[in-house]
Amino acid sequence: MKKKQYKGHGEVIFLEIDGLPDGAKKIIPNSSMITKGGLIVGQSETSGNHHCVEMVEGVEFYERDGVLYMKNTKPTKAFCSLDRARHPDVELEPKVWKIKIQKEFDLLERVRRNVAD
Amino acid sequence: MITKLTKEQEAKIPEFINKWVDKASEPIDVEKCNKAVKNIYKDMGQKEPIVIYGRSPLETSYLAWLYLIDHNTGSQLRSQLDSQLDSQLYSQLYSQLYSQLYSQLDSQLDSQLGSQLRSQLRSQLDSQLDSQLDPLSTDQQCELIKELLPHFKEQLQLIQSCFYVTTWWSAWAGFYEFGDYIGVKYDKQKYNLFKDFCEQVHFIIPFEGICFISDKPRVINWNDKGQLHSETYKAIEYEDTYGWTCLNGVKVPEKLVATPAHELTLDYYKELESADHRIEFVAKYGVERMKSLGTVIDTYENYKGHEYWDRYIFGKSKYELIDMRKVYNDDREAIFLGMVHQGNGMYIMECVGSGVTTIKQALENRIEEDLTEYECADFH
Repeated sequence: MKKKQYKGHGEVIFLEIDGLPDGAKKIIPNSSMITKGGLIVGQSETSGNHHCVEMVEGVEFYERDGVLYMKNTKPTKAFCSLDRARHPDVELEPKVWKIKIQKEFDLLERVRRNVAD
Repeated sequence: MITKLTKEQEAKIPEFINKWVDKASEPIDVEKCNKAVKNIYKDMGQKEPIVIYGRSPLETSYLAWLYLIDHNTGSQLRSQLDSQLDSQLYSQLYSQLYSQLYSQLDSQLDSQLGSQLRSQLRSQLDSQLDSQLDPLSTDQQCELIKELLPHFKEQLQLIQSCFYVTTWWSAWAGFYEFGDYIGVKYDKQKYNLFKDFCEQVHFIIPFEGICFISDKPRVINWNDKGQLHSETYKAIEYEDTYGWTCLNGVKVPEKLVATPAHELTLDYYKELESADHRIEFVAKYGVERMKSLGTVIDTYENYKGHEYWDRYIFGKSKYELIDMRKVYNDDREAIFLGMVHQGNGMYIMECVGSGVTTIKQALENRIEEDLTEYECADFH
């Protein structure tokens, strides 16, 4: 059986899914969500080197229960907003993707939290 | 039309890159700088400005802030200056030259130096009001806040919106200078105006009739990959000691740079919230030293020939699950996933918490998804 794909760009993981979940709402990005022509999908608090997805024609973002989804009918890519050498670009073929941030356990705060750059 | 570089011209490219990278820390020649600034003001149709110098961007911002407080307001020229520089030159130097020369200069001068300076300065100016008011009693704060804060904030916001780091243009200046060397024809007057300005001005806050300019950094330390880097002190330092610490292009806490490797502790590792900072910690502390403190529970080496090897890039990431409980006072959650960072090739260890006994479980725990139906197609 053919496996589905997942791709990683730093702490951001793109998981191929069959379709958008019911009730997913389309996101209309505002300017604070966009940098260098891409939607910020992984904030980098310390360096400002955000993980972004290029917003080309055919790329739409959705949200449900705090989880981000992307439906792209044309190829796009994940890239770093400042230092592209830190994480080379990752191509994202036309699919529906669930976008997640990897978690880690914070030993000081005793909670699971998003991995932060 | 020039369509191909000669071997001799191509061999000169590194010389131009080094020249413009070196210029980033070359002291300002005040006479030349005054002239360049006045010329560009004239070109914008503005009257000759008074030029005030600060030793660093932070000091320069304070000077401009004081000026604005004293004068109530100032008419800023940032966007006009930006368009003016933009309109100076435009040439069709072919794409090979763009990737060989401009992208190298841009990645060092703007992506590294310029972007770090912008974010450093913005956050410092943001916290400035708070830190100035902290030492005052609550009553004193109330009085001050009532009277001055809205006014101070307005001026500070103006500074934040109109300071101008020109490193992006410096990279272009290097590009255009090489174009001049290989025989590209420019409007000489515009070319000289642009080049003279980029050679001298690194940071400017331009207003009508007055502008504030910072001296360039006294020291910039790069590693051999062209990243800001110093293992002993600040990677960037200005004359008034303003600056910041970097390891391999990542802005890191000063403590991480200042503490000798043998004095670094795992308690400090716990305090580091950023994955990038932790990567630099492990590199300095020593990967083997760090791993030797724990016990490897599962390793990628157990999966040679297994379907997971390619499917979850076990071989590429060199995953190891490491029990670090004994060095964390028997904290049951201290189970770490060690791996090679797929972006920069450095080693990183991240805590996955208790209840994880295999690498696959650790990956699923981090993504919070069952990966049985998945394979990794790309990871950087």
